[in-house]
Amino acid sequence: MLKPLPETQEALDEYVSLAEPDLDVRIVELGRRAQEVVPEVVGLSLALVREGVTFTLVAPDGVVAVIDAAQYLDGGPCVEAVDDPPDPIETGIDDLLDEGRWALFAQVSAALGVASSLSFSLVDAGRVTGGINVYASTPGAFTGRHEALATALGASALDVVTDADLRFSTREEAVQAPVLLRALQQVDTAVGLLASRFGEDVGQARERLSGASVRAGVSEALVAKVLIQLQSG
Amino acid sequence: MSSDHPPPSGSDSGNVGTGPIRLLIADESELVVHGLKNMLLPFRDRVRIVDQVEHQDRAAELVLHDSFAATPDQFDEDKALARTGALVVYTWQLHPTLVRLALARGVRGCLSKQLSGAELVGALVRIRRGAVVVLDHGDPSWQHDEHSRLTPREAEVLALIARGLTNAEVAEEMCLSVNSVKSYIRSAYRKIDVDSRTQAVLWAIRHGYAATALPDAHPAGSRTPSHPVPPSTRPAEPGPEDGSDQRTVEGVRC
Repeated sequence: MLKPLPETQEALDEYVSLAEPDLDVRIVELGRRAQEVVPEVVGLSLALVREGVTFTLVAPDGVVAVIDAAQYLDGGPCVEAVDDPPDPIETGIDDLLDEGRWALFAQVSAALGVASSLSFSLVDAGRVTGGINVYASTPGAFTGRHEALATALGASALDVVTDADLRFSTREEAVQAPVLLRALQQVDTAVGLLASRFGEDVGQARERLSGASVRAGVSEALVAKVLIQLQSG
Repeated sequence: MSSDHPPPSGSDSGNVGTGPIRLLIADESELVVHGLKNMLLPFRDRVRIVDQVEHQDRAAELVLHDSFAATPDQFDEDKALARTGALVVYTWQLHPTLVRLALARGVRGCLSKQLSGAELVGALVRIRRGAVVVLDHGDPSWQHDEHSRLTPREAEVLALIARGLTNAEVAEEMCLSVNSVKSYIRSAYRKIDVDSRTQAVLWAIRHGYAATALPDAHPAGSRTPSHPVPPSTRPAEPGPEDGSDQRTVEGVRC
């Protein structure tokens, strides 16, 4: 059974949506369905475009845990992300290998990690709302199973991409999700405070916050954090 | 309330005190004061009742006062005390409309006189840590907010997220699971007809569930008042349809 990464659980705790009230249940169900169709599945990530966050499930005792151990030995991408959370990870697999910095991580990933992946887009009313990546421990695990998997996950089988993320990079994105959601919450809260303070609608208040962050040369999240601290006295 | 209350100390929500909470019981009958002292005796390591003539350094952090039973001439003093962040309404009359008005004035909590000692201490501990606590006892059917049909739990959650707390922080403050907090947030969203945190924060401030202390950008001729506008009283509405508003205070650990 696939389980949420700790950071994914933390992010799910902060995620509130009337349109998607049971995302935590849904994502675990997606993992269950994926393994039902492809038993070799060891990971699944769900990315939401609107929020810009990724949630990831992994097999608790599978190869992913070994990858984790390897990166802790050598200071891999997730370790760096936790040490310096505001900076998004934008490193590609080529960078990793070229730099040689994460050599151990890459070697272990190649030797024991994900051997195949399948990527779907989630489309709603003609717009891409998210994506699902599924990872398996054996090469070619998804061969001939695209349609069945797409059906099981509620995705389209027309635009699948095979083996596009053998590095399981969505795990790194998932590590950032709590920080990103917290920043979104702070911005949302600050916009509400500003709308009240200046008698504006939400859109105007959001522009006010955005303008202030541009003029000050700092992130919206930082401006929002300061506003919230001011409000709290 | 008499005018010679010592100024509360350590009442800033960002300045959490240590040791037992120094609690002042203001303008209460001898019966209530003695009863309360006895009730809190087992919790003397958590709460210490102070006398209003004590030295400033040991002055009260929190003040319990039955503001809803206050006479008109006590009203202004109550307002001033509320602004210090020390006032906790302790009353028999935990009526939703009164609670809402009290929260709009900046009180730190509204607690029923029917609470047990453990419940009261737990609530005071949470208040000292910065939470705004509304805690009633008895039949929940009369606790619903007349304005929006928010339950006290939903109202408290809204007030806390309007202060910038995360869901996890709200859960800790209210001694609830994160899933319960998310459930309260969603049910509150539905009742106040919003679908985002931004809108919920704005609604909470405009309806008196949360105060804002942002600097006034328009001191003269401001387009909006610098303090939340108390909502108008409306006829009582039926209670919420969901039965999810369970009291989950877990004793003094909260």
